[in-house]
Amino acid sequence: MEDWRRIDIDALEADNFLTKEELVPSIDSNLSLQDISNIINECRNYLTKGKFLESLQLGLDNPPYLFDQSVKDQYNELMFEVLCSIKNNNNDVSPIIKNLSTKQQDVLIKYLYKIMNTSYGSKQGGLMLVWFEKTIEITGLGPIIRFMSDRRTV
Amino acid sequence: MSITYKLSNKPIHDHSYSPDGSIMAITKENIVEIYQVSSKPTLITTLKGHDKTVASVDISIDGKILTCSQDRNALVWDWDQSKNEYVPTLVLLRINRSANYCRWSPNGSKFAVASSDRIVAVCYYEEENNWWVSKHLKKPIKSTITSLDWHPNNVLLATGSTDGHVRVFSSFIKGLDEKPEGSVWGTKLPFQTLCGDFTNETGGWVHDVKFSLDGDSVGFVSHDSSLTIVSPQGEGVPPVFVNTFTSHLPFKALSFIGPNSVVVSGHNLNLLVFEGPNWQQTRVVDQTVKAVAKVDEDEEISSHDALNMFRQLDLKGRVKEKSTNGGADHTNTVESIRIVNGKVSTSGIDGKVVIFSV
Amino acid sequence: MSQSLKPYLTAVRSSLTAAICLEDFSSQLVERHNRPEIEVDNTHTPELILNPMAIARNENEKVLIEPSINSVRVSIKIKQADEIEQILVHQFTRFLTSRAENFFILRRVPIKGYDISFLVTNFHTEQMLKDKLVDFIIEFMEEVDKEISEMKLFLNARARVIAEAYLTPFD
Repeated sequence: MEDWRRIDIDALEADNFLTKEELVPSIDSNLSLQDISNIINECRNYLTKGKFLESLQLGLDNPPYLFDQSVKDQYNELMFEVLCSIKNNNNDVSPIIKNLSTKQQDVLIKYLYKIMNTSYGSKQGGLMLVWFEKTIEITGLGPIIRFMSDRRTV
Repeated sequence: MSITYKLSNKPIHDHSYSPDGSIMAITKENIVEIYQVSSKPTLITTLKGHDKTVASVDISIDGKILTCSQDRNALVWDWDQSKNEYVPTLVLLRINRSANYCRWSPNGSKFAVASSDRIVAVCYYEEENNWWVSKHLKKPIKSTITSLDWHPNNVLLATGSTDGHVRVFSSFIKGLDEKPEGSVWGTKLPFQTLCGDFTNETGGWVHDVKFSLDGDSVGFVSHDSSLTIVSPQGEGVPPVFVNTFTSHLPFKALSFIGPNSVVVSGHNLNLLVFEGPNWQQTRVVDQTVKAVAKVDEDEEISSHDALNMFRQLDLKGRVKEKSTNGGADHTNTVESIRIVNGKVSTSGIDGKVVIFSV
Repeated sequence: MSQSLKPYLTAVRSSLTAAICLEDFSSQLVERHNRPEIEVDNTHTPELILNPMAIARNENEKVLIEPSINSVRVSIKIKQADEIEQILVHQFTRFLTSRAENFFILRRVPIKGYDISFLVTNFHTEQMLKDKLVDFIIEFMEEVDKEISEMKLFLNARARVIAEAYLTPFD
């Protein structure tokens, strides 16, 4: 006989429940896959030209919320590159963080958490933590709270 | 200016005052305690009828006490002159999850109970059976309802839930309510009409929702540390939506204290004032002015000091200052805010009730 | 405190402070139950779980904070540079977890990939001040590193003494 204790009885009443997909708020975004790869190229361009702030701002303004995991991973790697390169070329990152808008600072924290969760990111943990510490110093706890509660993930 | 009363070692999830402010009810685990408020609150009686944590308590305009609890029940307590005590009346809620939040309508003819069963029960009195019966507001709520508030017209009801939505429903009951006048929320309002459905960009849990004093806007606080004020502009026009993100810990409760100002509090412990039309923070009510201790930038500080410093930074507008908890009167999360005799009263997990003159 | 430890602990501290914003929340799935949402199956209630936070100092030292509406799970991966440290960490955490009831927030079994886990629920935050809870976890993280390296030194010193004692006859 089937193990009836393990039947998920709540699944029979599926209408009553929220799904993970329903949780994501609707976002006005008409970014296409092409746009994302353009942005990635553009960010790298800025980096090679030494325009660090522009590169970071562009990256933080267009997080690929609506794309699947592979696109997000690709974007994470880009952000990782940007953050490392900025830190390696600037001793103090605080002035750069101060130049970001509140929204951009929120997204920055999202990427820091995300990158620390990857294998390449944890190898550079010290570097990410410097970014993290400096950002929190400027913004307070708000961005952390919003990282947790925001349904739009990076 | 504030007065603090430490009334319990247990959390006070909710508290309520009679209309003249002479009687106060607080929740304390499975019971509700009734206090006489003169110069100092004195305990007059306790209401025992629930067998799980009482989540919410509210006193109606005619002095009836409504309680609801995680044991899935709500009770209406009325003063019985002959027995000289409060006597409970049964409420047929017909929900089978916890009842989280209950409020009387402005004129006291009905009340609403928000539950984890994804249902709001709108209850009214049935004389022949001497009980309160309920009608359910269900669709399209799919998550726990954490809070609700009545519109001054006695018909509209705003609900906030853990799916991040604030919804405004009509709870018009034929034969009981007078037809409400048309407003920004709509003109035709049969029971269960959805008059508004709002969510902010992050979709965090809504902790508390309130109508503005004139009822033309609705404000809510959610778990992304934000305060949102929505003012609908009538049919076909998008509502005016102001969403203020802060650097505090999330707020748990809000209350309008004027046409253009609200007070909020919660995990951040302090009582803050936000003012329209931009809805920016203008004041910290319980901020005690302390000597500013200058912290040397180069000095090596421990992480604990560092955190305190950061907390000072976000609580007090970037002034470097050392203090244990930002000068707040509460030592643990504030869970409810009430207005009594023009003053703001808060209660929280720390078992304190604090009354502020704002 | 070493330079690189400070940003790590500051990050953990601020993340914990933000994560431990809990409330009394009765289950919306099971009648009359109040259970830590982070520990139960959430296929039907995804809205009660928040995004998990990972804080890494390097590959070997990580903290994972998983917040939900009424509970937070904190898991710590303790630095283990060599086999001796692995054994010491294992023994040390085993000693603690077998006495978990004395630590209130300690979880008996760590989650996969980490050495020790804590579970903080709303009932803990009602009885204890949040600052103190966070202090406890941070202090634990500071102490455990110290403890392990101290034990390692003792072990080495003892091994040396024993080796000398055994080898003296052949002197």
